[in-house]
Amino acid sequence: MTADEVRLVSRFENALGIVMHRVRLREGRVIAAEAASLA
Amino acid sequence: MRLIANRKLKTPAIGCVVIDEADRLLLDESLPDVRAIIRATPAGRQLVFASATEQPETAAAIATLAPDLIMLRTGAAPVSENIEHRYLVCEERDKPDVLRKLLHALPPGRAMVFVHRNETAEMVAAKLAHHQIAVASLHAAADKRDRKQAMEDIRSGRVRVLITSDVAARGLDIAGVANIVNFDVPTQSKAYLHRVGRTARAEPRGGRRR
Repeated sequence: MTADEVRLVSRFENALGIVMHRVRLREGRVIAAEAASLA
Repeated sequence: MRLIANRKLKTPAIGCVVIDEADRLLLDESLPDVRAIIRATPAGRQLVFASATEQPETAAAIATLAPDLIMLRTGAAPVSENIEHRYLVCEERDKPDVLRKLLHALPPGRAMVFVHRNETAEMVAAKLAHHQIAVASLHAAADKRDRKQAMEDIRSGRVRVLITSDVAARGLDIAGVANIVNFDVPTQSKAYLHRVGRTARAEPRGGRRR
């Protein structure tokens, strides 16, 4: 999603009772964004 | 309606009418047909309205169609707890390329990619096909034969990626859909709910990305 669309994350989380995790692609794998920023 | 009009469907013997996806079928555009179908059935038949979501407009329509309605709520969480929800942030122009890389990174299994517009479905399908990814597209602008072919392709496993608009978000039950990708993110949580409902259908786990 784009930076503009990120605002929808909290909407979905609140309305649907879910938790959405931000991820990134690195070397052909999906990894947690937090892990990417620490690497 | 056509089956009834052509007398292919014998309505006097009908004992139960099920209106699935009621929250959509009872909106203005479909409501006259639903009323006509119900009118064509015997007065003593049972009416069942099924929906994953509720909205005031449809509640009003149901009240007129079934004044003695008994509401049953399952009490289940609206979204399966077996679905993992993840999102990637990128520029709009990079979405097709990110999608391609994401599809390679995802575990094996069928994927449904949701877009807002028919044209986007065609564009994304063409770009993925260019990179030798077996893909089909399913959207409202496609003719009936192409839509049928797309469904056969994804169900048979001939392709593992289905690019689709919300026309396919409801009612479809495609086995083995492991991943839902919102290429275009829905603005309403209800739409998100229906999209992700295409995975984890009696399966252990599903993922949703973007």
